Amino acid sequence: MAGGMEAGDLQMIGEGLERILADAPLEAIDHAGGVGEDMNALWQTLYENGYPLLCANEEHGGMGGSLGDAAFVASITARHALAAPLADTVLAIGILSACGIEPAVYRIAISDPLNEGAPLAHSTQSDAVLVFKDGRLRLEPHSPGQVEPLKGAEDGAAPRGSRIEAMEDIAAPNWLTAEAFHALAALVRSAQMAGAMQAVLDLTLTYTSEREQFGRPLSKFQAIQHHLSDIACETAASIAAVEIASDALAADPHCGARTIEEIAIAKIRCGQAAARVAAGAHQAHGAMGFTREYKLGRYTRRLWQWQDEFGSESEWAIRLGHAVLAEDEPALWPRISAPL
Amino acid sequence: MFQFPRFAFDAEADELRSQVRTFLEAERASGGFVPQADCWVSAADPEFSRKLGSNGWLGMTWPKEYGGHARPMAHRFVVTEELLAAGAPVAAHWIADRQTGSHILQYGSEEQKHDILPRIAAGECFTAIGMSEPQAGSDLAAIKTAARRTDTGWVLSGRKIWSTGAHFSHYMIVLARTSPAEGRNRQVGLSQFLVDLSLPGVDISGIRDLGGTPHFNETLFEDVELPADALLGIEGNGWAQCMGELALERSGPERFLTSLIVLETAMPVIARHADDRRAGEIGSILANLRVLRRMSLGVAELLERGESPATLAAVVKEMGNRLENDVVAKLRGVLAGIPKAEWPDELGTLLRDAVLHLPSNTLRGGTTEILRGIIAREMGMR
Ligand SMILES: Cc1cc2nc3c(=O)[nH]c(=O)nc-3n(C[C@H](O)[C@H](O)[C@H](O)COP(=O)(O)OP(=O)(O)OC[C@H]3O[C@@H](n4cnc5c(N)ncnc54)[C@H](O)[C@@H]3O)c2cc1C
Repeated sequence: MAGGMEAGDLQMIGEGLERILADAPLEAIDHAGGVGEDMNALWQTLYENGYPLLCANEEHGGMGGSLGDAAFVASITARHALAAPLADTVLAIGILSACGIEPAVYRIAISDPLNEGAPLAHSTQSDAVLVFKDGRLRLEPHSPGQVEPLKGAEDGAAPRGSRIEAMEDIAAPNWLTAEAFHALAALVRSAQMAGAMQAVLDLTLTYTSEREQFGRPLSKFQAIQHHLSDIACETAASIAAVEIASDALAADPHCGARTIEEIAIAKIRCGQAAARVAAGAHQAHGAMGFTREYKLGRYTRRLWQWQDEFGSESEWAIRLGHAVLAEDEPALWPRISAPL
Repeated sequence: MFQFPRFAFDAEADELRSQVRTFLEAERASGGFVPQADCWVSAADPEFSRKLGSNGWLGMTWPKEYGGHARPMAHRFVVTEELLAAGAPVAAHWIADRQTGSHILQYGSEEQKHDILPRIAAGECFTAIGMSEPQAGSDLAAIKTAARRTDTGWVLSGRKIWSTGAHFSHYMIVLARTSPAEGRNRQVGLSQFLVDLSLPGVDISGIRDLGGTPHFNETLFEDVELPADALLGIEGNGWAQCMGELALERSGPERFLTSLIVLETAMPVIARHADDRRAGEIGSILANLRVLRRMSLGVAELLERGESPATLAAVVKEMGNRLENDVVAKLRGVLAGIPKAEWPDELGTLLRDAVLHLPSNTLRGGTTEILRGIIAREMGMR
C-alpha cells in the first residue's frame, strides 16, 4: 500500500482503539459526544489518544494517516457501535489537513454536497459541520443542543439548514470536487457497514448457539446454518470491497475518477450486503432481535441508515452503470479485470 | 471471520494479459472460435487446447522438468480469466489443467509425472473427475466403487456418473473404496486411482444435458485391472486428497465468469438504450463481479503459499454461483423493452444457452446447500 502510515503502525493504533472501546461502558458507547458542551469521558479519552487527528498531516499535529485509513478506523468504531462521530471527524480533519488547514479539534459532522436535503448524521452530537459547496470547503459552527433528532434515525441525524458563518472557508484544491468529497464519505460509510456486519455475525453466532428450541440449539438447524453462511459470505465480500477501495485511495490520495469508481463498488456491495445480513440476522434472532433492548438493533438500525447516507447502493449503481455505458466501446471486463 | 488476503499482479502478468487478449482477438477474428456461455464445460475444442499448449498457457505453474512453465499462480489466473471472459472453447483441457495435473504433480509417481504432465501442458491429454455415483452425490462417502489388491496391482469395479468430458478424456481420477468404513466413519478406507480410460473393462456412455449437449457421462468399470502405481497418493487417504482437489475446483474464476460473455455481447445494444434502470443493473453486476474476483484472487494467493483454503473456496463458489444466476436474470430484465431486431445476431442463442445451463451452476462441484454446510462447520455450528 502506498501513502499513509506503515501497516504495522496502523495495526497498533487499531488495537489501541479496540481496547478503549471494549473497556468503555455501554452508556458511554451509546452517548459519547452527545448533547452539550461537556465532552464525556470516552470522547475525552479518544481525543487525548489522538484518534480524531489520525489522518491529519504530521505538521498539523496528526498521525499522518492517508484518507483511506479513515475507513480502517470507521470499521472498528462501527463494530463497537460507537455513537460518537469519530469516523466522520477523522475524515473531516483529514480532508481539512490535506487542504492545508490546521484543524482545531471539534466533533465534526459531514454534509453531503450531492444531496443537500439529506439529514445530517451526528447532528445532535457535533459542534461543527464540514460543508463542500460551490468549490469551497467550509467548516461551519453547529449547536448540537438545539437540534431535534429525526424520529427513527440513529446517531442524532437531523435536517439542517445552511449557515452564513464559518470557522474556515477556503477555495477547495482542484482535486477536491463535490464527487470526490461525496465519495470519501461514502467510503467511510461502507467501512462502517462492513464493521457492523462483523458484529452482527458474531452476535448471531453466539445467540443461535445459546438459544434452544425443540431441545437443541438453534445453530443445529440447517436453515439457521444457511442464514449464518449467508451472513458470513456477505460480510466477507463487504470487507474485500472496502479493502479494494481503501487500497485504491491509498495509492491515489486525490481520489480521482478511477478511485471514485472503486468506492462506488464498495458502497454498492456493502449496501446490498447490509440488507441481506440484517434480514438474515433478524430472522435467526426471532422476536428478541426486534426489541429495542437487545443489542442487534444497535447494528442493524445503523446498517439501514448507512445504506442511504452519501448515496444509496442503487444511486451509486446507476451512476457507475452510466459511466460504463457511456464509453465508446462499452464493456465490463476491462473494469472487472483492472489492476487492484 | 473469512479474510481473503491481498494480492497484486506483477508487470509480467500485465504483459501476459495483453498477449492473451491479442491472441483471443486474432482467433475470434479468423473464426478460430465462436464465443460460448459456460465455455469451460460446454465448449471443447482439442485444436484450440493445443494452441494454448503451444503458447505455454497450460500447466503454467508446474515445474519445467514436467513440461510446465514454473510461473506463479497469478499468471495462470490471468490466462484462465481472460479465456473465460472471451467465452473461448476451453472445456477439453480445463479439468486436466485445473486440478488433475496439479494432483498428479502432488501425488503421482515420477514416471506418471514425466509421462502425463507434459502431454497435459501441450494440450494433448484430457482428464475427467470420477467422484459421483448414482447413489452417492452430495453424500460422496457413500460411494460403492471399490478397488481390490492383486499380485500385480488393483482390480477396480463400479460405476461413476456425471463425469464431465469423460468421452474425450484419456484419464480419470476415480475415488474408490479400498477398505471398509469404520463404523459410522465412512471417510476412512477411500483411495484415489489414476485410471487410463483406454483399459479393457472401461465402458463410457454419454449423457446429454438439459440443453441437449453430450457433456457428461456414465462410466462402468468391470473388473478393470490397474497397475500398482495407479494408486494415487496414499492408500486410505482418498477423502483428504479429494477435498484438496475441491479447493482447486471451487475457487477459480469459472465460478463467476461463465455468463459474462452473454452480458458483454449485449452491452452495445444496452448502451444505445441506456436509462437509469438499465444502468443500475449494470453497475450492480459490475460491483459484484469485481469484488468476487478480488476474493477469488485471495484464494489463489493462499494456494500459491501452499495452503489448502477449502472453506474460502466454498465461499467463492457459493457466492459466485448465486451471482451467475442473478446476472442472467438481471440481463433478461435489462433487455426487456429493447426490440429483438436490434439485438446482435448471436445474443439470442447465447442467452438461451446460458439459461439452459443455469441449474448446473449451483450443483456441480458441490451444491449450494453442501457449501453452506461447509461454511457453517467452519464457524463451529456443526
Ligand atoms: C453439469 C454437471 C457436471 C458434473 N460433473 C461432474 C464430474 O465431472 N465428476 C463428478 O464426479 N461429478 C460431477 N457432477 C456431479 C455433482 O458433483 C453432483 O451433482 C453433486 O455433488 C450433487 O449430487 P446429486 O446430483 O446426486 O444430488 P443430490 O446429492 O441427490 O442432491 C439433490 C438435492 O438435495 C440437496 N441435498 C443433498 N444432501 C443434502 C443435505 N445433507 N442437506 C441439505 N440438502 C441436501 C442437494 O443440495 C440438492 O439440492 C456434475 C454435476 C453437474 C450438474
